[in-house]
Amino acid sequence: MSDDEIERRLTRFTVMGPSQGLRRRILEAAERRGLRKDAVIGWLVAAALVLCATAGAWRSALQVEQRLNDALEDAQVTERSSVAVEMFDGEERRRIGLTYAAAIVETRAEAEGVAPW
Amino acid sequence: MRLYSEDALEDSPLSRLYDEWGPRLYRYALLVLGNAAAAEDAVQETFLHLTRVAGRRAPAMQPPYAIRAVRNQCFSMLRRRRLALVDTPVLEAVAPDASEEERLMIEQALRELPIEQREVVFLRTFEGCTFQEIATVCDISINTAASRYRYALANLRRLLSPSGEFR
Repeated sequence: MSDDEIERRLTRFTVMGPSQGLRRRILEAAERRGLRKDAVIGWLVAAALVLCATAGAWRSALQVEQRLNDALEDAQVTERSSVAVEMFDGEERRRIGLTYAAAIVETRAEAEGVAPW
Repeated sequence: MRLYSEDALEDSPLSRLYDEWGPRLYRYALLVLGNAAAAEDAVQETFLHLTRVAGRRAPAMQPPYAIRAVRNQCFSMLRRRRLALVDTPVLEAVAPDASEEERLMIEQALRELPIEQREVVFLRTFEGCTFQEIATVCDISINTAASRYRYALANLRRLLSPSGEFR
């Protein structure tokens, strides 16, 4: 049997095609996968919003602290002695802020050639 | 839950891609896997993979890549699990005078071929691919593609001859 004869015998047939249902099955599977993807994106967006809200609150707290520092800095320039007294305030947060403010007072006083307290 | 209407689904890029390539890819998968259910799974996974890769763009396929994609899927399935040997009909007659006996004989002979030879026979004889295209699809040299085809024909000659296994 020659090669041509074998090929001729093969081409008297063809490989069967898919059932009608395969097309629908693939389209629906792709749609379901798309819905799952949309759901995942939804959760990610929600998580991002929560993170933004947390970050906003944190930033707001930092701004309050910054305003406190600014106020302390202004206060120490005009009322240097009172700052020294307030350094012994019992409040931890305020004490740290005042320590920082006191350092600035000392630096400025040195630059101006006056006694800091 | 359905977000898209039937019409939108029918008119999607994926449906157009399926119309163009689905039947050809299925035929390849059926001949390689010899199992209709597994062939359908392979084609479905191939199309889903293509849409995942393409994202929101319309997936596109070029001829060698299309068959290569389903080939990878088929070989991956063959590695993962042993497919149940189901007597799924693989061939259908084109010639009006082809008999059922003849169909069974050709089909059995094709099943007897190693997968690498069977796929080359499919691509060359049923798809009309050149050896260059076969080499691209199977990731082999042109010489290897040609020699696999020669070995396949030699095996088929033995299996289909009057003194062969099925006569």
